[in-house]
Amino acid sequence: MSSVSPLAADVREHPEAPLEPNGRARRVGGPGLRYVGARLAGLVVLLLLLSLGTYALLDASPGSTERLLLGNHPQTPAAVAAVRAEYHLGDPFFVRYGKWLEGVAHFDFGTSIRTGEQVTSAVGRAAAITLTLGAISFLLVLAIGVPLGMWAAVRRGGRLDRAIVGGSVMAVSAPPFATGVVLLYLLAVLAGLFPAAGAGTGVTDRLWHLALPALALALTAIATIVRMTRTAVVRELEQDYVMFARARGLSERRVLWRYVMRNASIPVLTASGLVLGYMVGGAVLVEVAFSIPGLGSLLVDSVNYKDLPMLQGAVLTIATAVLLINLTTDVLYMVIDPRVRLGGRRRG
Amino acid sequence: MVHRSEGRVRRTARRRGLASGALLAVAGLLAACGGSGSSGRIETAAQSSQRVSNAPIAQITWATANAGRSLNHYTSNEPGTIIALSNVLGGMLQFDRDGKLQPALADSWRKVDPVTYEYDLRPGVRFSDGTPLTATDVVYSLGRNVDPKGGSILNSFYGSVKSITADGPMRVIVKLKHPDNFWHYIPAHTAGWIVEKRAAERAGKRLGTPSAPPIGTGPYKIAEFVPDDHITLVVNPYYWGPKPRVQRITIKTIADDANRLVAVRTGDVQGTFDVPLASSQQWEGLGNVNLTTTPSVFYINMVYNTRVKPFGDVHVRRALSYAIDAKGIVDSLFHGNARVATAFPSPELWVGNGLTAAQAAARQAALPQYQFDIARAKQELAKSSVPHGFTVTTPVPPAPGYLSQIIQVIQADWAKLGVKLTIKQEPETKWLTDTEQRNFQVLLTEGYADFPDAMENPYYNYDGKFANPLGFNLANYENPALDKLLDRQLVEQDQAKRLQISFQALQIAQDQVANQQILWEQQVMALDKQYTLADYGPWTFFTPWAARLGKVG
Repeated sequence: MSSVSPLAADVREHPEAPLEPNGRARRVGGPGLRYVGARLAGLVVLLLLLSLGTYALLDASPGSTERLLLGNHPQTPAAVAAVRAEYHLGDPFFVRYGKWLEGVAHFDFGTSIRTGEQVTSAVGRAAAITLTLGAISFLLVLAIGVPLGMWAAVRRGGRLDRAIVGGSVMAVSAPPFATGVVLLYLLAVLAGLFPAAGAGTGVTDRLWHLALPALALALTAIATIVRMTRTAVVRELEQDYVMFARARGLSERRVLWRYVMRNASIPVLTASGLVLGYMVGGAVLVEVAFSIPGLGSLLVDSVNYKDLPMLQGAVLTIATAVLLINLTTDVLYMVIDPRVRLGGRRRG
Repeated sequence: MVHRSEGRVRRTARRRGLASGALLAVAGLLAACGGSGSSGRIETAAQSSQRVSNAPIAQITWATANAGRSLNHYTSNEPGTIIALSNVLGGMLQFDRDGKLQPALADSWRKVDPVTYEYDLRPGVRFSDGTPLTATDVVYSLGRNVDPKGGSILNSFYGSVKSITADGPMRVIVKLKHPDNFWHYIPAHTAGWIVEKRAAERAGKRLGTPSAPPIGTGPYKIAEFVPDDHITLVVNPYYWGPKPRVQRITIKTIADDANRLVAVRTGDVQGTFDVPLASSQQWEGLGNVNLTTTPSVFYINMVYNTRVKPFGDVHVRRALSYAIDAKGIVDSLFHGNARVATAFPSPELWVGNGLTAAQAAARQAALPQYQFDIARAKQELAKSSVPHGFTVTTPVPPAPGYLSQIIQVIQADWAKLGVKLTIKQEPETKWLTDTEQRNFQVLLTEGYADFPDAMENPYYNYDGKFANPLGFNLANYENPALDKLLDRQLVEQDQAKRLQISFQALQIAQDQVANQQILWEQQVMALDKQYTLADYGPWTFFTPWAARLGKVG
């Protein structure tokens, strides 16, 4: 009996399959860490540029913070002057930006002009909700979308395949707030299974409150994952190594999960990164329909009040989340596919 | 005050955008398919009279359309803040359902002379932290509004105040710079609310944030505050008045109209003051709540910028006013949840001036009016400098949504005169700036009365000294004869004479029509059928309404 794995010959002949003969993936080495370090440095630069741009744009937008704060009571000049002094609204742009930046260097993101709260606590609270919502939604997308995509690929051409693809296209066509209202009606009003509004307090209560909005958000993104998974799996299933593996007598399940999925996962991973990024942005629409006080409403309120410190905090939090998601996607790339050495020496 | 409220209302349209159509359609589905077939009639507050049981109620959840951004009434005057704080804070006086002044923290008060008011504090009152109420707290709380460095947005209510002093621990003396017929309402208004001094000073800038809630004398105190989400109140054990029945009330922010409707339908929420007027019929299908209506303090007004051609011409203003179909708007857009206006003040506001609502309605109806009549409008325009019509633009904010709807109705009617109106949708910030800078030709606004005095809005909207960016004479109207009357009514001590002067002023105002009031709004409350709210009226939000909730018994 040969001591070499029966698949070794296959792998030698088909180097595009990323698995080593012993079944383990190559480990990320030194060049990978340098790459991550460089990316993180770039992230900081990006955030700085973003903060300057956001500050400038909001500052230049019409409307005066004093008027927004003072509301619609007739005001004395002394009151207006007091508000301007309090929030340094009369200082030139770079002085104000500089003061903000100085605070940030000491991890002080300032106080909200609108609510008087510390920006870190307000953004922290809102981000916890939005990121939880995005995460649950993302998991739902993967949990529903990947199996459906695989199923469609395996049964490609058939009725089930067409039904799954058709269904997911319908889901992506409906905007999340519309889907949300339908889910509200069906599951909260008719069935009484879920609450109608708010984000809840406490872990289980929060999960219960976020279930419907997460589902609404997930449904719109599922199409992307279904189609991506289906395409990737179909392509892998047509590869020669699969035919040979089957010819070797491996079960269909083993072929699918051990080999096909591993290879198909790369494009799915890319799409997932995009989907997760969308989740963070798409959460805004759903938050409105379900009255969830997340980053979405915080952004809108901050813009409407020209609440510069709060807006900076919210925008930078979202940007950091999206950038970190992108970075994680790229790193996972390297982990899954040892042929890819981003920023390092390419394998010959 | 005048001008599109950041205040009370329905900022719901702001974030809905496209969502509104889809959501309302589905909400309509909900209402049609929901309910156990009750008639869905909206009862007037006067009609509904239910016996209240004294059984305690453990918890009630209330929905508000507008988030309280902070619980500091000095800096945040939004509905979400007010309806919570009115249960926590109180003033020396309080409005009753009809708007009459009643004793509260002051059990008696007197006007010693036209510029001196004395208030005697109720003995034995404690704040929710157990501290006794003294005149020092009152002087501090009211004084913050006077001092511009106190950072209070309510300082305009204290414009005529010279000094607020304590005369011993239980008496407060307010001295004015000149007589002011608007002053005596202030102790019952949010501008007269009293906070515990030491706690407020300790809190400093953090007052009203979750870490430093205000300490008051009201029936409730703040248990939890999550900005933009909810405020939870629990009973104040030291409250000086009758013990409230509801032990705990959570005021939840649900800005989206459809979501609020769903939350009421599922019972997540037991009541709300924010039943949208333009879509109240969807709420009428709910079987588990009663709908009650009462006049509100809000009105809709068309402003003509008299400094811009051709709106300096009174014939143009009259012509355009004749072409506004107020009754049509009330019937079709508000579904009867409004009344055609005959001047700035709604009849209920005359209680402070010494007239009943019926008397006021009759006298106002006799003033020059501009009932919808296209023929008359054309005649009037023919006398003007632009008999063949002209083009005009108007800016419209995103919220409340019905402003856009109303202006479109007006656009269609003005077109019949040859007046081409272009509607410019603007973001809120830009709209506020344009309003302030008088950067408009005509402007549709929503305004409100701060207290039950009929002359408040005529004064601030018509007096020439307010025709500037800090004031509310949006029409930039300057008429020395009218100013004389408006200034006189502010200081006139004889009530009968003041009435006479007031109507003389209104006569000119209506004749010159620099502002055309279109309608007075109603307000509609939805409340779970098992509960009732006593004395629901236009001033309910300024008073500890949560303490008047009870089980129907």
